Amino acid sequence: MTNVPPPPPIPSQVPPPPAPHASPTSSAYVAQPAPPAPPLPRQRADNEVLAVTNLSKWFGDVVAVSDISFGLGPGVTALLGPNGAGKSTTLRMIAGLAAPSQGTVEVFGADPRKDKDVRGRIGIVPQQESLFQEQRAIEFVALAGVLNGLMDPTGRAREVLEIVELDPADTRPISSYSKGMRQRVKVAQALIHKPELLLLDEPLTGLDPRQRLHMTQLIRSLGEAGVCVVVSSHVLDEVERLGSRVMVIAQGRLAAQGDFHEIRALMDDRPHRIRVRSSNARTLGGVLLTGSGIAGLTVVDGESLIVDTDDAATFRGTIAAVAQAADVRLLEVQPLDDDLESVFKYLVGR
Amino acid sequence: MNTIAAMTRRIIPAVATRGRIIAMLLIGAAGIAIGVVLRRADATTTDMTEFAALFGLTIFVPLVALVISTASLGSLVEDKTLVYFWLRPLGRWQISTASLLAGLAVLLPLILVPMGILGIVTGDTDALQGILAGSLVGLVAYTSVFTMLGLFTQRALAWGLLYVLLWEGLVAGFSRSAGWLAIRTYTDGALSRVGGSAGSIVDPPQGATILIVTGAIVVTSFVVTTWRLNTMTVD
Ligand SMILES: Nc1ncnc2c1ncn2[C@@H]1O[C@H](COP(=O)(O)OP(=O)(O)OP(=O)(O)O)[C@@H](O)[C@H]1O
Ligand SMILES: [Mg+2]
Repeated sequence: MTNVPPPPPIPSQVPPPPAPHASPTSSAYVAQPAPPAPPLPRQRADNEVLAVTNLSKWFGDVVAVSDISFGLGPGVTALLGPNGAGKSTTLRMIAGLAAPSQGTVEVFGADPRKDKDVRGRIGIVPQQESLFQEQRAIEFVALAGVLNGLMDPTGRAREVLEIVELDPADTRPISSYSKGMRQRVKVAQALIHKPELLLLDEPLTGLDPRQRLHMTQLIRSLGEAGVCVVVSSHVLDEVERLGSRVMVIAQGRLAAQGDFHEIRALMDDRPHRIRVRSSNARTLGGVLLTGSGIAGLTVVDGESLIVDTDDAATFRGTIAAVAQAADVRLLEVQPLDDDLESVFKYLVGR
Repeated sequence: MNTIAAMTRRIIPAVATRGRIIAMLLIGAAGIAIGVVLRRADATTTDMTEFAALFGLTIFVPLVALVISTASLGSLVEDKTLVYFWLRPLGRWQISTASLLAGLAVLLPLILVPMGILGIVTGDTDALQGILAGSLVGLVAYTSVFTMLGLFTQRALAWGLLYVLLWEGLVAGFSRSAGWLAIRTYTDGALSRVGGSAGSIVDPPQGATILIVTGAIVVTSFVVTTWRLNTMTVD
């Protein structure tokens, strides 16, 4: 007997969940008030799978997750954030593996820590690599099928192993598998019971570029089929390829949310710091200051200068022409703060 | 139950690693060897039974049960694979049951065979039966307690050793009331009751008491283990 009902019909457009503290200035930005807000009555969308309300988790002095609220329906959502942002902790609370320090998680309207039927509708790919080492992949995945009460666990295990491009007939133990192969075994066990909520903690790590592409397509297709998929990642490009909604999480807080383009725009809007190396930094600096869009400029030495600009795209587009007009040879244009860390820092600090 | 059997089959190889099995068999063999030497030296049946109680019931049985049972759930917690049992549409009591069954399945031969041989070496049928009865009580009680302990702490081996050596070995030996809180009292008691006069303790508990206490230990450990599974944080 399988306890998995068919996934709900795919809505043509998933209505974004009402943001409890939406700032009037930007639809992509959710401002978090400094003191913890009392739980607000949230309007639920009909197809809401997951509702997180004022969720916090701390470990002693470390605040891992701080007052996060959101709701999700079918489709792919990416949890984007740097190392230590609180992505895994959030996913683990959603799965019920850890209890919130404060706030609530509801999956299909129930507490996943208490409701055993809800557990049967969740699939998780944990971040840790550990698996039952001496087993074969098919045995490990079939065990997941047995524990989920499937009629034909081995048959279904074969299917999902093929979906993740592993050989179901492989007789080698999992201990002999590469990181990427283990990652795919983990995904297979999470898919075996056709979960309606799929939680993937950095599922693309360890995969080679071709496998990444395949996994990305798999995740997209699951989202299109009506599964609520939450994927964590600290790589912006990965998230872009998932074509998903994005929730930016930094220092345990929900710093921004929206579709990918909104987040990308938000990140491009922030001030950029760029180092320009040229044959004559002083001359180039002088010319640049006469133009617009330069918020600050420092000449470091004869070759290097550092520019602060609010419009990085325009700057990158015109610098070559400006240098040529000034008869200065351009050696290098390098963004100094294009790393995610500074992007997140900016978003959190706003 | 299909699911319990599947989990039990999964836990057994994780618990019965080659290193553990060999080490435990060596300890058992050492005990048997000493028993044979004693027998050759014309030890009386009472002496032999006392040795079986001292070596077998106070050292060998608790030690072997400790090493194996704490790994039942402990190894799943340690290598972070518990999640693959935990996040399933099962009652947590099924995980408790599977871990207990896995421990018992490994320990049954690992304890009863060496202890049976030791019993045969005594050369007395009553003593053999008493030794087996005591071992059986120890097997069930220690397995339950140490399976639970393995879920609570990664240092279950150290705490278990402390309990066996300090509490059961020392405190319970001196104080009669502390003795009621030591499994050893009931393993020795079973030996005395079943083996007749050969038992090592002066005033063993009644047979019914032994059965009830052993049952209570199993049930309590099981309930606590299940409660802990329900409330713990899983990595
Ligand atoms: N069990 C724990 N005990 C103490 N601190 C913890 C524990 N788990 C997480 N933390 C802390 O909580 C914070 C968030 O951790 P979390 O693992 O959720 O981050 P993450 O976004 O998943 O990071 P990564 O990209 O490295 O996986 C970190 O500062 C981490 O050190
Ligand atoms: Mg993580």
